[in-house]
Amino acid sequence: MGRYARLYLRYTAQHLKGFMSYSVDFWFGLLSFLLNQGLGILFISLVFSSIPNLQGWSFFEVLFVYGFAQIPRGLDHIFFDNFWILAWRLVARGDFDRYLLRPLPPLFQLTAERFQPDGFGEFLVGLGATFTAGLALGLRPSPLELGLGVLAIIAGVGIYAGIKLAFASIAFWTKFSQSWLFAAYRVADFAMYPLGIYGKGLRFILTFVLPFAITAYFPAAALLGREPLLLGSGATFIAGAACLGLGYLVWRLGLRAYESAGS
Amino acid sequence: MKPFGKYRRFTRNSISRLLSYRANVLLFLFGNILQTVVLFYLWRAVYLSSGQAVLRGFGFPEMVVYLVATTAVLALTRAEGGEIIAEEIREGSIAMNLVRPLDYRTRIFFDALGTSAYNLAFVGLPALAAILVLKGIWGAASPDLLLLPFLPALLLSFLLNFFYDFCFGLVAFVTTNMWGMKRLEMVVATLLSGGLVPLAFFPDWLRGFAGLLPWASMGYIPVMVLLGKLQGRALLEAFALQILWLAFFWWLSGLAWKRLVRRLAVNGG
Repeated sequence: MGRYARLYLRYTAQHLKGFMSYSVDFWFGLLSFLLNQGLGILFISLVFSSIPNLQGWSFFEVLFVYGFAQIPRGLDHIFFDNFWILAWRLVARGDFDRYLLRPLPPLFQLTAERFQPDGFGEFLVGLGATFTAGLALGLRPSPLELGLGVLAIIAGVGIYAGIKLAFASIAFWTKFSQSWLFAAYRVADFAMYPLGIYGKGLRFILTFVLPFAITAYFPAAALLGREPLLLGSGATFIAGAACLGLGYLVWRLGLRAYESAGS
Repeated sequence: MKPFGKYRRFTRNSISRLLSYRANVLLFLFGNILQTVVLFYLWRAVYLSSGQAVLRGFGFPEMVVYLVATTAVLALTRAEGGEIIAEEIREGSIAMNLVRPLDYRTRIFFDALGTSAYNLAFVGLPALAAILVLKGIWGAASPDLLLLPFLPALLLSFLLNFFYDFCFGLVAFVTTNMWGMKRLEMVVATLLSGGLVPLAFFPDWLRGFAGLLPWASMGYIPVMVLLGKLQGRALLEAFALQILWLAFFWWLSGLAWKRLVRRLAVNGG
């Protein structure tokens, strides 16, 4: 375990060195994601300028859900961004071979190789929005609620990472799969708003098929006292474990099916 | 000799390239449709909660047509020329393309034409069908669509987008992080072209100003023309504004290209 932690830090340090040599890129990336998330909040406030509440949800409650949704999303973006590269070009260009030649688990190498600071844009905006909304609503979470909230965020990262790994692994069969991943990620956009605004079919998909609602809506609504706390936390852990398991399974099957691009 | 004979094959190439990655392109499209679905449900909730039939001049059927039309107009007019230029600058293959006896800007234009033709078939026509079906469902409550002035507005928007995007692609001569630049640009463009909310929902101080910026001419104006919101004098003013921006970016792209290529030649030694 200690060995992997040390190796991970080495990988990250290497990657950050690359970033330092293009420091303008780094700030651009961060700024673009900050602005992108700011745009979402601007959208909510523009919409709220003409309504008192959104089907019973106040502005700050909607902001709370929106902000909470960005936190696991940002963390996933920071730590598991390399799955996008797997979908995009690692298999297609034959670069994946190098993971198979080194004496380390390929999944570890894939994860460790890229540390994506852009994700802090989402993470920070999410944290800021959640705290602002929480303060405005006078939320006083008990230590238990706070602890479960943090665990729900970790489980939410698991949901994102698992789904991303599963869709990225499709590349082992199709050479690239970034369009699959892109489509799956657009489904995650539904999770940023209260689930009640969607139709029944969509609600089912967001809860049981691609459970993005569980990364944001259920835990956030539980903290707001609008869903049972046990559902907000318990569902998150189960879904997180299930998604990670499924992602890993597809990855294993993909590895078995992998044929190098070769020339 | 056929006009633009040697350029036409770039259009054909870009279409067949897109056709060969059909599954990919369609999945990307599907992703964009999903985004529209999210907005649909959000607006439905907004109209249900507001207790009003009309918000800022938009009824709910009108808002849905707005969403579908905006998605389609942005897909039809958003040129990819900038990305091609950026890619060629990054790879250095631009040097080869400068040697060829082709006008670079014209070549990129015909390439972009292919993407738009493809999007017309796979986004534009389905979107139009969807709008007509919705119109049938809503009957009298739905807006009257003005297709006749819409087509020139769409064409102007396409041309304006092309020259604007060409200018933007040239930024790759100056920076290595086109990806971050592009994202920044998209945030600004999405907001100011009405891709997120109609400009009518902007606060007063921003609305008039935003309407004059080039992005409004690219996305917002054609959609508003289609919805019949711009008529008579306002319609003519909108066309004039589009033409003005088109002329500006046509001039700017030519100038910037000439300057930057000269610099490239010096550096290349």
